[in-house]
Amino acid sequence: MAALKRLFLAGALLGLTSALAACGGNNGEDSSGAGSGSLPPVTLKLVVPGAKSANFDEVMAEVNKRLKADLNTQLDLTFIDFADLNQKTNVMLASGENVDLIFDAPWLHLDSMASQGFYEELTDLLNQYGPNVLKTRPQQMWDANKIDGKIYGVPLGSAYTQARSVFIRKDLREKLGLPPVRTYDDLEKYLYAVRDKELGITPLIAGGDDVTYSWVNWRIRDDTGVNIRPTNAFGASLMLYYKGNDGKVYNLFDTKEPQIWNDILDARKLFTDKVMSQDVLTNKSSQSDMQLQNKVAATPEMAFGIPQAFNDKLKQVVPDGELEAVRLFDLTPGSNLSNYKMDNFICIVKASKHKDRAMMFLDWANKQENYDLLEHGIEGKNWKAVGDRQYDTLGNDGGVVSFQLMLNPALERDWVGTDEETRKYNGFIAKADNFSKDIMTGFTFDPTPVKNEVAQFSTIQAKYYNGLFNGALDPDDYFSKFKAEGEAPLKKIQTELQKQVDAFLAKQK
Amino acid sequence: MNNLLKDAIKQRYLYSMAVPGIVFLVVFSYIPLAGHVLAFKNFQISRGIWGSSWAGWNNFRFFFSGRDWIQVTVNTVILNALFIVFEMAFALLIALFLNEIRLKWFKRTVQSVVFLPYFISWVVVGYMAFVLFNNTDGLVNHALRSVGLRDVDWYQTPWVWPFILTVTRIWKNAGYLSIILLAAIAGLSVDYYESARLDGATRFQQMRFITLPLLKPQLIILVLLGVGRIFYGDFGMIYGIVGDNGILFPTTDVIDTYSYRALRQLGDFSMSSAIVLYQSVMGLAAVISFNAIVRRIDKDSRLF
Repeated sequence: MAALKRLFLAGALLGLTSALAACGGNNGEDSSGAGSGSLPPVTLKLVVPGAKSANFDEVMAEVNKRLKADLNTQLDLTFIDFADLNQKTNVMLASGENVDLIFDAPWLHLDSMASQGFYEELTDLLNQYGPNVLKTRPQQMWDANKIDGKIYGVPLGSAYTQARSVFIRKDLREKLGLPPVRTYDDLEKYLYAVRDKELGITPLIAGGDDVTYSWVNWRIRDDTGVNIRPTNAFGASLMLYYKGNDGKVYNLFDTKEPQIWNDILDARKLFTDKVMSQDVLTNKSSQSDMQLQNKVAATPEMAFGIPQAFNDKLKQVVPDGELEAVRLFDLTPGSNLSNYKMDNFICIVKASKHKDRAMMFLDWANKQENYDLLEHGIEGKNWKAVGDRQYDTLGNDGGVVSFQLMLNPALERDWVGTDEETRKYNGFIAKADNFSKDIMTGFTFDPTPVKNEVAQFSTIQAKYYNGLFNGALDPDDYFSKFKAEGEAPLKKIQTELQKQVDAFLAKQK
Repeated sequence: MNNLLKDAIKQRYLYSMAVPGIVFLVVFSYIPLAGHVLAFKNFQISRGIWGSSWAGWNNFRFFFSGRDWIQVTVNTVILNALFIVFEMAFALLIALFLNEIRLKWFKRTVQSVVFLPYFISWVVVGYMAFVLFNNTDGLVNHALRSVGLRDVDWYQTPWVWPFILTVTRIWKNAGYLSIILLAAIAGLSVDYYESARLDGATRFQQMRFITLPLLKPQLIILVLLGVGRIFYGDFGMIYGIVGDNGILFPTTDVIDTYSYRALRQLGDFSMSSAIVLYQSVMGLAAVISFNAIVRRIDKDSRLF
């Protein structure tokens, strides 16, 4: 009772001060119905991956000015480098650090954190405070992105699969007298030509520390003939995979799936032929950095087109350098599967003391004018609108966040300079109807019953997976070692996963 | 006990000076001991420590049911033993030599130079190692080539890494330890040296028969402290330098990096607590047995 009384007093006092503050220039626009005068001041702590952009301070000042006026809220935005993301967010959550909103993802630890109860279930908060969050995402997206039938994070994304391609150097290709790269064979021709003619530049580097970017994973994703995809029992590892829509969990140790095995042999050839970087497992800089510093001639990237900033950066090192995207994605409608799962999520932390406000803030961020500010910066200074759906940059400084906080298909603008071809691909993956529905849509694996095996297999996999899937280890030799060590725990995980899948599918009928 | 209490009352001001230290120990070393209970729980943050269910020994299973735990434990102990022995040896050498330098400015400069690497973070050291040993344009391979030798795939050759890591540790930490020893040397009474000189002892003999024996207690304490942490791998170092390169794990993977990799996806607190408990128990055993050995050899130098 005493606490309640204190709360009321504090509220009254703060209401007074913020009412005074509001005189200093509130534009009065407030659609949520809760005037800032009635809200106590709150500073929300938001943790997302990435880094501060060049004009972070300026844009944040504007963000906080608007937030103060609209919600009497200040935003304390912390960036974590991708390399430390897993470790730091883990520790932050586990130690109960004072965080209100945090980024998470299926490829990070969303499922396990949610099942351990670190995140708030959002249905009520969304209904009460998040009309714009709800409105800007189609129902399919909400349905498919639940965990155990509950919403533990706001799905962030504007497409139903990841955009992806391999960035190569247009200038080098032309210098080597090669025609535009259309197929994987063309790509190999380019890579070998670079090896033979271009001394001092490594032809290719894939992701040695990130399974998703391993060369075999990268190729399997675009192989619509087989529709092989990771089960996400442990990240993007293909050791347990789904194939087509038969509802079965496959085990690579048992099947030695020809498609995957051939890609592994291919990757090995690239490595022994010195096309793949010899440092693919140990490299310390990101692939993009390596490419923009003119050290490698091809990298896998999650985009269909070259961002303007990439070419600008490259030109600082090589004046006539230019990147182009090799897209091996299949544009036949229905040939790709989608589970309508988004890759990224923003979650409200269970331990947060400001859950209501956190949702109000998310709602605020999902309004067009605020969305634009956060993503592109200050209008008229950093960017300008072109029509309703496009934008153009004014100086390359951009905003502060996007895919980490509010990305959605309704409010996202296309860059006006995006070429026709890229726009075609981006448009394709933004339409749900272009995909066949993955039978696993809505399914999430609960690893708790086999967590010992998952832990054990993770360490075994760490010894071999990236080496094999990027060609650094000899498959004939190491695959059998991998199998000898990993077969038993993987079998148990497979059995448990299959059990859960069966139960899930039975419920669907 | 009674005497202690009487003494404490009599010398209350002297004793009160120990209070901050004791409070520090209690808060940061003794209270957290209760946290070991997590190792036997299915800890869920939403339910709290006591609300979570008991797990028995289940949390230890992932570690002990495979066969890697022996390897990572052995790696941890061997690497740490290498570090302790060689760091101490080099620190001692540096301290003895520094002590003999009479030119003040030169001594200071050398002291700072050997001390400096201590302040470089392991992440940066990891980059430096990569610049030296990488296979694309590594400096070491450059040097090998220029003297007509063949390239070595350093990051694919596990057996060299205990040596590289030891050298790195010496480079980084020996200077720091030498400062501690140097301070101890400065505290030795000059009388010994004076009488030795009167008896015609050379500088080397003074070093061998006066400085070294008098430094023994400090050396033993430093080694004991090291031994107490012998089951704790240096995570920052190993992860900073080796990273996720599985090829090198057979010789470099330590308990800490191993369990980090096992659990980073799961984020399971209880399972990591199980590992910490294992390390603590083994570390305690190591300290007790090392102390027992010291007690047998030289009773006065033992810690307890």
